Amino acid sequence: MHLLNLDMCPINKVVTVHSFLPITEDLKHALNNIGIYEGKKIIVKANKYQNQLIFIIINGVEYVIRTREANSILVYEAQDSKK
Amino acid sequence: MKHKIQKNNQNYLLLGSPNVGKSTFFNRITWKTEKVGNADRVTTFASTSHLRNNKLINVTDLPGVINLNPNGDDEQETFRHIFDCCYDGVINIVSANSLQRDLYLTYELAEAGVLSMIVVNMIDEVKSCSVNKLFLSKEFKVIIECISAKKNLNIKNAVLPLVNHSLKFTTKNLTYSDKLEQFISAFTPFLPANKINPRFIILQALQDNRYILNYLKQHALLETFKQFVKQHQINATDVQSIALTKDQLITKLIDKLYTPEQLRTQQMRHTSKFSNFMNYIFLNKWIAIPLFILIMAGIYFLTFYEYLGGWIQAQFADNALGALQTLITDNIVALNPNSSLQHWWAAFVGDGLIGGPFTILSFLPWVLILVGLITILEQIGLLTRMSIVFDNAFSKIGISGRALINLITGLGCNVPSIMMSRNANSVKERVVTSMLSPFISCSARVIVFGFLSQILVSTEYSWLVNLALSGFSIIFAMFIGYFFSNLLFRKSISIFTIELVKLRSPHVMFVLKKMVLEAYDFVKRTILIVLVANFIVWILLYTGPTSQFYINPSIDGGIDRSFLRYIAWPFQYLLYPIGLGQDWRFSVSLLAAFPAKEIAASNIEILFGGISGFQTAIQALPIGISLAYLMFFSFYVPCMVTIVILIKEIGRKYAWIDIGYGLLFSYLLAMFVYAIFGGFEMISLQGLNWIPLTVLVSLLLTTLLGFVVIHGIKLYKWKQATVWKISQYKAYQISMLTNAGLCVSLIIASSLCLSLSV
Repeated sequence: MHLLNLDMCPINKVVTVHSFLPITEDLKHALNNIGIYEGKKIIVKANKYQNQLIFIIINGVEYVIRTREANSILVYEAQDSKK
Repeated sequence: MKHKIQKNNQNYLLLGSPNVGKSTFFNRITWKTEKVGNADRVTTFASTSHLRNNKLINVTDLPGVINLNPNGDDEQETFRHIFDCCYDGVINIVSANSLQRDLYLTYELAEAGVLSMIVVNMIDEVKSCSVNKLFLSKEFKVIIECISAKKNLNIKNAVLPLVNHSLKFTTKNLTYSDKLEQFISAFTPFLPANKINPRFIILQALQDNRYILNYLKQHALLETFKQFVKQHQINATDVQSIALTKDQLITKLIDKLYTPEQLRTQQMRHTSKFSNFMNYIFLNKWIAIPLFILIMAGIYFLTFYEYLGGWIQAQFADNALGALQTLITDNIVALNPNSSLQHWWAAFVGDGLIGGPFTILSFLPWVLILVGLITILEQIGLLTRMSIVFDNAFSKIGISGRALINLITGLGCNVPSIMMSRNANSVKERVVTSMLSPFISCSARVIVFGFLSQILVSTEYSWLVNLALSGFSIIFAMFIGYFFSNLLFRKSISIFTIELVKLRSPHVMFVLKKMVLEAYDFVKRTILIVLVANFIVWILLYTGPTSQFYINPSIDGGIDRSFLRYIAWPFQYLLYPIGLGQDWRFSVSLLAAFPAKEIAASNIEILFGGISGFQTAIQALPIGISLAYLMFFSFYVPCMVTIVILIKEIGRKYAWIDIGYGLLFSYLLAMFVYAIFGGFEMISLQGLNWIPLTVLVSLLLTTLLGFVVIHGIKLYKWKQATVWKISQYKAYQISMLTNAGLCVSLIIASSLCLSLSV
């Protein structure tokens, strides 16, 4: 299983959240509250508009998070990866 | 006004994910007009009202949550209502656009045993993907209704179950791993009786729900719970499986609800060429910022330009209000034209009673156009994109781009802006964003800016002055934010997560409704506060300690013997270092504007005997004084209501720090402007301007010293790689505090010197 930071993962592919690097409780709650938790499948849509931000699709809804926050999320490519 | 909940009434809660249209639905079924917008987490506090045609049924609109594990203060409020309040049903609003996300909350509500009805909103936006009500109702065993709150479709049917009292609570126990099931069975007997399903409480406690953990602590069960977790060897994988089980159920349900073709259509909205192009434009780091500045400039141009909003305002002021005022005063004089008392009555009614409120009411077209255009921005979804683009700049001052939505809202009124900061992801962000809001030029301040810029500059460039002052207020707020976030919350970081909402066309009826409500609020505030304040000022100006009424104080010299002159005396001396002590009436207009900022404009008319009197007075003084007045007025103290809300939302400590620093910074800013634009002219007149100049030079030198110390330490640390006892932060803090202390003492000293010399 090849682990990547969320901001480094391939665009438009389903990836699974593996774990979080040490982060504050507030940040963990904020990520949980948009549906990012261990085992969750997400799609990184783009990081081309703004350098500091990445755009992800969680449960069919598009969210924007900072690259700094995304750096703390480790993901791996899902087995049933599809475009 | 807070709605009183009667004991015998039926109470229902409206609950759902952010931006699914809960408040829009709530506004449709009640007479309330809560703020709505095309952005997530617009509602930040609960609002209760009865149904339009049934006073016995109450509905409470709650802030949106994605799941029942609260983080921000707005989410805490939602969870508190679910857990602690009495209600007869929970109506879960989901969006047909984002069922996959919204059903997570539906499962949690069903698991908690409180789900009573599901309302699928925004069906007008997914025509090709009609929602299969049958499957949903089979899964959750509750009433399902599909509506469009925005287009008023099927609302009556959605309200019927509430009126017929046919809603019932449904409990759905999901099945988890054997280990979790054993744990739940073992701990359930310990829990006190509660309307919430004990399974839900245990599962939430495992997921670190702060509210539930606190509940267990209150019942002295937290330690037992932790021991049970250890005994049953519940690990992170088991906790993860709670959310994943629900995800799997949702995936299965979605597959039943939609055909593969419909699913593809739904997914297409994230990859359609149009949405990608629009996002490319509005989120591009080179194009977006100039574009947003142009949009804001356009809004101010439309509102204030003399041939657009300015023309409407002039017509309304002259042909409607001006004519009405003349008619009233003429009729009073006509009763007995030879009596001086009749003239006094005409002056009292014309200037004291209706003059001030009419001056303020004449600016109503500006307020309505400004509010209408900002509402259109909110409805389209541009504010969310603005907050994304500006996040980088905001992160530099320690808060997230989400704060920009609050600040733009503050251009209408500071109060909702402060209330909206409840949606922040951390305490730091909430407090700092709230502290910034009072510095934003609200519509009341914009009225005064418009009024003054028409007199001081010209009607042609009034819009530009307003735009510059509003833009400057945002920059000034960011500077203050940098100061607060470094001084008060250095250790905490800001977090930015935001839903990229779909671009939507603005709904004309919503915009018009918002404008009508704003007009109602504006007229109400003008009548209640401005009228009273003006009346007091008028009485104090027309009377004096010699027990005499002055018919025309500006001409007969009564103005210098009035009560108001004596009240203004101490404040006048405090304002000398910023030039405003030149005329005591400036201090009165600033003091009187404390209840509501608009009062400054109406009072200027009374104090200077009309706009022409003010024009003559201000033109006789250096331009620096007018600019100092504008600078000081922009930031000196927020209005009374804003202060009350600020104290309520962030506590006394931070509120007074905010007000104190605002006063200090605005004083220094006004002094700076006065020294640059007016001070040099004053040398030849009085020879007193060395005082503000000395203060400024000291301020600049100490600031420079502060930065030299900071960077010196930084450089030294880098070279030596040793640990210093005084951190960079401490040095910064000490230098800035010394700076502030020096400034305050110099201001006090200069005020004293001036008052003694005068």
